[in-house]
Amino acid sequence: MPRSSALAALSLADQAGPAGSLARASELLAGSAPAWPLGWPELDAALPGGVPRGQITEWAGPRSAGKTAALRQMVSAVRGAGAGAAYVDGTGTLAPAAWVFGRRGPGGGPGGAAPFWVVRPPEPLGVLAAAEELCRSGAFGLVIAEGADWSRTPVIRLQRLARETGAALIAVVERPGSVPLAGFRVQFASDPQTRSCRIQVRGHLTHEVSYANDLPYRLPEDSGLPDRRSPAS
Amino acid sequence: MVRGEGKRALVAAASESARRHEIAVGMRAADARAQLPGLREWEWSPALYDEVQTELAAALLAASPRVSRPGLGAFWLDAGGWDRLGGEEAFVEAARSAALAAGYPEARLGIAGTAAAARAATRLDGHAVHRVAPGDEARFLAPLPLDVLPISEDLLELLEALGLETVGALAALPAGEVEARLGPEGVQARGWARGLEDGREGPFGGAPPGDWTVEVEFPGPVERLEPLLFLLKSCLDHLSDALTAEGLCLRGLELTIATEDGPVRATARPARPTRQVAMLLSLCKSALDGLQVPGRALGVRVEAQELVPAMAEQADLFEPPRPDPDALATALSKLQGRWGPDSVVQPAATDSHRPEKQGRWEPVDLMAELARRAVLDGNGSASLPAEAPALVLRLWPRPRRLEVHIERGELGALLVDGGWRAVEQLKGPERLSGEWWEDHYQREYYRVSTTAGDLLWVFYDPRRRGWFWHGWWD
Repeated sequence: MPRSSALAALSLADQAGPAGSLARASELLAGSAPAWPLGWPELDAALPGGVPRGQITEWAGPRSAGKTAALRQMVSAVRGAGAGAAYVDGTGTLAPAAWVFGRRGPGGGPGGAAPFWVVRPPEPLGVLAAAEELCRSGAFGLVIAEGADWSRTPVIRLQRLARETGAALIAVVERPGSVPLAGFRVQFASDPQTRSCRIQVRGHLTHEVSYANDLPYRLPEDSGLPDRRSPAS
Repeated sequence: MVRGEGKRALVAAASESARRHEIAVGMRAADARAQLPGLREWEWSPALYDEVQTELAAALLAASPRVSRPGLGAFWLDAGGWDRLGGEEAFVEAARSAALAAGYPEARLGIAGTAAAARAATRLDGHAVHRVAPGDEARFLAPLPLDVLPISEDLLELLEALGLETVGALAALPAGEVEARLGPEGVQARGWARGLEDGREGPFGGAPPGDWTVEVEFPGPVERLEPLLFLLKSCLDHLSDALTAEGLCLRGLELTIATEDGPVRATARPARPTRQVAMLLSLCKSALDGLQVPGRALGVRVEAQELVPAMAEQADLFEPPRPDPDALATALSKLQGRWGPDSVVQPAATDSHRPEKQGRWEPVDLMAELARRAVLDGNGSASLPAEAPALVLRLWPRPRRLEVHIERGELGALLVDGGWRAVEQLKGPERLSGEWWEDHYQREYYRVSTTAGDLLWVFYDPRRRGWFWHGWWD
């Protein structure tokens, strides 16, 4: 680089000021799409436009609270944007049929050629190791980890990896507050009367979003055929 | 350099100017000090020496696929394979450049068809590079003193006592007389003197054409992983450069660690053909993690396997950006290498009435995935359906037997997670049966909403006369 060019570059840096309006490459990456939107306007508004990239987000709630439904929608959106998504399933309960996205994705949404991988480590200890590997690769915009013991892991290492690669790392847990250092905590409630999401940012409740979710049916409720049997005991 | 303490301290190495004052390796340090007042000396540090030599060996791997160390401050480099890379001139340039990069501007290089002649060529004063013409080894060695040959002090003294001064004089001795009077070592030395290569001095027997191995001998036995990885990376750098020159990628890599207790082997298979050093090093690290190395490591060797032409990845202007294939391959190789191919899967649809068979997990096939192309939909940004997401069914790997309360002939409560949950809403039954020809099943499914908010999917199995919890919606 000619010396005049170098001096010009230094001069620009000085003008940026100590606050540092010059961004690092990783910040520029995150800045181009700082969050993955859920497509749930209220929830996206409560979060900074969606699930933030470069951070760990806690995704907490009991069974049937709708955590997986929201994740599935987000995986579809992330792939549609050309980024890879990965789900580390330490519980072994993810059923494949619901995750077949096809070329146009579920409901005609974007399918994309970006990968969606499900990693199924044989033991729970492998969940965070797999999540770390996926984050480190830099090939995934979204990494979901479920079934891990977050109290016994150097979360700061994962947090740093997520920040460096611009990946959104979602930690799926049952009990809120289980994931140390989570930038955002999204809490799902399973009460059938008040199905809702509560969003906390570093411990402070920022928003409560209600949502409706009806029990889906595999077949019409009334098949037209008489049920001649009562459930046996 | 002085090794040892007190009166037993010995000279371990001496500079050229010290040697001119008759300071010799092996003499007592006290004698050396007396002989040359003002002598500057440093304490011998084997660890530091090994570290420096390791760095030099790593640098030399840029010039040669095979590097080994015959003695203090000397290395063997295999000059084979340079025909396609610019010949001997290019090799000389690469070797000198590597030595210079490692901080040895005065390194001397000898090139010959036999190891003994190459070694002697490095000892000629005033020659940074000395090449011995092919077949001219004996004539080159003939006028040189006997100490250019790698022979023991005892044999050297014996030869001098016999009045022999040059290599040529040794070469001229009758074979039978040498064998009778000087033994096997003498026979070997005479062979070297006559320009014969027996493979015992110098480690390279000549690599066959198309050989894709890179190997390096450590300066000393290695116990720690760091120097091993350091030299391993240099080996992979060399291999990658060679593959690039030929436009090839590898599908597999064999890693051999030479140890005091014999060689230990491991293999690494990237998820797609590659020559990317970072990926290969990462795979080798993973392979080493699971490897039991019995003794101290003496050297490392990598061999490229299943070479294929490199394919260019063409990006599509009208397609959303896609993840880096190499990054995907690295992640896939490491995860599948650790837990097997079934640990990283993708969902695929299957046609079945049986709930757990409506879809299957297939091991990720990276090549097939990279070949896939997306349907362009919008501008590549995330676009989403407007409606609220549908709940997703999750299934236990195997249906779990369930304890239930039947109230007034209907399901009243279930024992879930160690506690009774009252049934708030019950939808069903949905009767499924089939596969009588293979694994007959008969189930009466119910969708259960509990007062705690669970949306469970349970079934009654009339054949086994029991209730089972198959999954839940989430």
